[in-house]
Amino acid sequence: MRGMQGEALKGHLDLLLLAALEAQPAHGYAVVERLRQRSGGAFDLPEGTLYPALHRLEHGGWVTSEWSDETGRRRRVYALTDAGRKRLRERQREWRAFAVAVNHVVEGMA
Amino acid sequence: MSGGKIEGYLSELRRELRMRWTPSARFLEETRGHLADAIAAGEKQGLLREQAEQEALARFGSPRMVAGRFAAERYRRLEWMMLAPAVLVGLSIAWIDARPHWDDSGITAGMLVIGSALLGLGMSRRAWMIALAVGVWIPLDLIFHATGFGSAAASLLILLFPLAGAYAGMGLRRLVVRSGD
Repeated sequence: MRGMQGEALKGHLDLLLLAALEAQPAHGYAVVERLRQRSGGAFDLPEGTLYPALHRLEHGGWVTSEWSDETGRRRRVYALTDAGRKRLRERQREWRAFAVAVNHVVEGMA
Repeated sequence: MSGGKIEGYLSELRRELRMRWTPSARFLEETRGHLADAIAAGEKQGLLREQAEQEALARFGSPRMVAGRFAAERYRRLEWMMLAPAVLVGLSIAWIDARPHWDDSGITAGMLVIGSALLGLGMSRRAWMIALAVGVWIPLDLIFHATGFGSAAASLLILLFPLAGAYAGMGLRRLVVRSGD
């Protein structure tokens, strides 16, 4: 299956990134891997575009980050803040309502 | 990581970020780490080093696209904020131009070009926004007082001056950044 392209994901990127960081902190590449694994390989974003979004989330106070070299490689590790968890809950609620509404329309038209 | 391809990519990315006045040190270090992880994962899956590098770079995205996205995120608000002084400059020029005894179109055109160029220096993209904010007022005034469609349409040609200025300002900034490499 051809992966989902960036434009389709753009509006949902914040939610995806917050969800990817929910379980535990991660560096950028691990975030990409989580998204890829959880989506069954469907999300095919240019990986470099995740960093501007992560930096924006950090600027907004939803994510915090610090350098770590635990694995012998220097990595910037991102973690959700309390505000980020709250934001995630809000976005999840919005997403569920949106998905239900779209589903009703699409299934109703099928 | 010592691959020439990776270093070449990073230096291209640095240049693209600088052209957009986007701080690059932290992001470049993150990119280096990300690519190292991606290459290691590729090699683990059986790819040759060169193939793994190629795939990692392709997945990361072109330097121009990545830097553009970074600048867009960073300067989205700032670029909208630049519109306020641009509108102020534009209205001032339009006010001067509308004064009853003002009869020097050359100076008006010069002010439109220079004002837009100075403001364009602050833009990493969308210089046309500055051009419109500076230059739309005189045509609007002329259209409002125009006697026919021809003269109303012709007044829009005035926008060429701020457009030239704004893009010249943005281009000059890019040249300065490029010459610093």
